[in-house]
Amino acid sequence: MERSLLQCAFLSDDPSLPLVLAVALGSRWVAVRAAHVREVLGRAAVVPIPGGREGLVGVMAWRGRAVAVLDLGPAVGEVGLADARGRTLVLEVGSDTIAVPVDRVREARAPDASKPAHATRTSFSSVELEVGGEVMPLFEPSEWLDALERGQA
Amino acid sequence: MNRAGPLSFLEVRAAGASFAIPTAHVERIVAAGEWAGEPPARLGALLGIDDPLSLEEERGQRVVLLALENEELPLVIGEVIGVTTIASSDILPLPPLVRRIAPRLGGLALREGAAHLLVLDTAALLERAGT
Repeated sequence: MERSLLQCAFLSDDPSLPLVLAVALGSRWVAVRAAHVREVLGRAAVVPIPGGREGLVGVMAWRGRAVAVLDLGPAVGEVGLADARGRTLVLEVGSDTIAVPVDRVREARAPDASKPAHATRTSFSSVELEVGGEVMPLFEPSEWLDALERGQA
Repeated sequence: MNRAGPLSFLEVRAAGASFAIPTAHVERIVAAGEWAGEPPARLGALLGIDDPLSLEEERGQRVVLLALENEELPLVIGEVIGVTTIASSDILPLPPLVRRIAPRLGGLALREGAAHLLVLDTAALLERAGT
């Protein structure tokens, strides 16, 4: 049932805009390209890795393998506890598959419009999208992962 | 059909989390107060975790002596839970992203009806402790 969020996408007249899912952490909404999203789960059974280094919350089993569970909160300015979030996005980013706890997920849809992002508003985003009447940054997970590994996220 | 053989692990608690150590790499376990060898390493410190414990707390703990290929490492453990057996097919390797951030963790051990465990990479612990 969760995967229907991907399958029942709203269609757009502008094919140049990427299909995205709007996800929320607390009151912060960001758009994630649907192409990155492999599955939307409920609250996942995360095995915590103590220390919380570089945003690494823990690991979880997904489709027969272990995947890293990462906290997106600091990247979007939301400081709530990652393990209290009710949804989990499984994302494929390059050769990495990661899981990201979030609070809410809207169905995949094409944005209404795009415009350049304010550089200081959100890290790891270069453009803002209007999705369902709400403006939000388009999150770039590959930049985020690079920064996490450099300890700069 | 699962044709993988079972593997035996020592389940321990340290630094606020549970870990699995392959019993094949455990030479012996003694009360920390009775340990007379070289000063033991703290698992939390080796994992890069802030693990503040008083000397009194450490006296109530155990020292697990790890041994692998002529190398030994005494390790302070908060609590020894016991020995658990897990099918090798239920030991999932950690993804490269996790290994890069936490290189002394080797895998995720899946258990039915019990919390999954982080498997320590004994070779990495011995290697890093010696550098």
